[in-house]
Amino acid sequence: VNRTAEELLECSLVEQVSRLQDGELAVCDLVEAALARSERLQPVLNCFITLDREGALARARALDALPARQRRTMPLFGVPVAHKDLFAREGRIVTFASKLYAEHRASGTATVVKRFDDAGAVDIGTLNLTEFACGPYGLNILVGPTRNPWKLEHVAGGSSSGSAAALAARLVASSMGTDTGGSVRGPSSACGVFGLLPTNGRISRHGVLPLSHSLDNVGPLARSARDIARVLGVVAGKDANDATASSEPVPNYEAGISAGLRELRIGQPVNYYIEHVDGEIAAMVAETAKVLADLGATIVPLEVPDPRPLDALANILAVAEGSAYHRDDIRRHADLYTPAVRDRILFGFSIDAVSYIDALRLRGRELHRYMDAVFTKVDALLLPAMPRAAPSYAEVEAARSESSDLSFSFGKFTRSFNYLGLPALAVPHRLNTLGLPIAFQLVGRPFGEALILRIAYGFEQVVPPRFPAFPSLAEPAVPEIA
Amino acid sequence: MNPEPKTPADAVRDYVGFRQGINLDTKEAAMMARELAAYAAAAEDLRATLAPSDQPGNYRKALVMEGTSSDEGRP
Repeated sequence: VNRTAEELLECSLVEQVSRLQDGELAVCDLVEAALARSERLQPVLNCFITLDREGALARARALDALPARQRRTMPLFGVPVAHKDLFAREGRIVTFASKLYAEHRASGTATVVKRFDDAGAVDIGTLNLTEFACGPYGLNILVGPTRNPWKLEHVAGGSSSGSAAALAARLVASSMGTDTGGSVRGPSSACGVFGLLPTNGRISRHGVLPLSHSLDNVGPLARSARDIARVLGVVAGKDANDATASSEPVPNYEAGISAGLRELRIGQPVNYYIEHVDGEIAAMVAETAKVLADLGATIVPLEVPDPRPLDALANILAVAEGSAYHRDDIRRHADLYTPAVRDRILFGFSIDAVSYIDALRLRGRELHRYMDAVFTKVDALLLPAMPRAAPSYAEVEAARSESSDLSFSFGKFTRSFNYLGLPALAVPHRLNTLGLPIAFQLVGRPFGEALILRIAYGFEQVVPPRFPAFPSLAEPAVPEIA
Repeated sequence: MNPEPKTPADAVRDYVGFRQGINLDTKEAAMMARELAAYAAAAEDLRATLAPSDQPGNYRKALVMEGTSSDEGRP
């Protein structure tokens, strides 16, 4: 075992890149360490759908052969990454965690995958997810769900479950997920890593399986705010292959990240988000507000528009568009769908067209209203990311048996921002008394990613995620998941 | 697997049959229906205020205009 490589896996993406560019360690050594750790933990965590040892090492060798001058032009030089198995790479099997597509070979490469390649990253495999990215708990009948690295009998969130768990377990330095109602922020919060929902259109979706074309966004996960900034700078921007990708200029997200919080106004809602939240999480958000105030920000208590009607409108769009996309497959092969996913998609056929069109018509106006009500008064919002820590699989199963609303409550602080299209960042804070990560969320103006990353970075400098040493998971007792 | 419909009329009959056969009496559907119903009144209040000028295309414009003043005047 190469101890230096093992230790470097624990570091941030930015530090990994820097030390690899300096030649302190060969890319091959770091990638070998990432592969070995991933192989060792796969029976425990079930993060990966495929691991590509041969391809990753071949790529690492090619990167090691590059001259130093060229290495320094690559912002993700040599770091091991893997993406949700929803992103296509030409010639590779992309399953979407579906039995129906278990042998499906991609005919092209997703734009963000190509941008990772061009930036020097090493793709080591494909990561587990909720089947077709449809649901918050990572359920699928193809390979089974991912376990939460912090507490194996608990969910890793979803739908980008493998992405968040692989980062928490230090298997990769970054991962791309997708977020339609909270599918990046939920698992990030559940596993204690950073996850960004970018402004709608900020990142190309070309080559990524859709669920809801109105609400889907591709978003990065990583272990620090600066890592997110680095990756966002690589993947954001217009794309000739995706007409919905915005042509807004891409700033240097790292350049101003350490500018501090003075003169920033950060809104703290006095309604809804404090009424429907676990006590430990409410206390964590209050502590966060105090830290941000100590850093020079002005905390502004304010009433925000009730997100529940926006949630309802988002759900109308999500389920109707999901059903439209899956219509032919589910008609012919319903038996190959995971039951919880199948039933969600079938529900979408009950949405009437007028409701769907009204939900689209209201979207621009509600964004204007939200901007007037909130962002004329503050620069960003501070909210809990999730109303509670990750539930256990037993809780999820019990809720499903009783037809209770657990699955919806898990995403109720996230979904409205997909409808509005605003950027939102999940920021890990600490473990709760049960040993599960809890997180807060920062929401910004359209294309205001730089500012929320700056706030998160400032917070992180004084309160780095207060997690104990990561469990070794050397000889874990792997609980059965029904 | 269903046989492929051969004519447009077959396709319509096939699709109508599929729609009629959808089972909404599931736990997942019940949860989703309850979620939508719980907020339906609030969403209905918004829908009742829709004006003819509120159109789906306004959203992309709103997003850019709210995001940056540099876009003012952009074609």
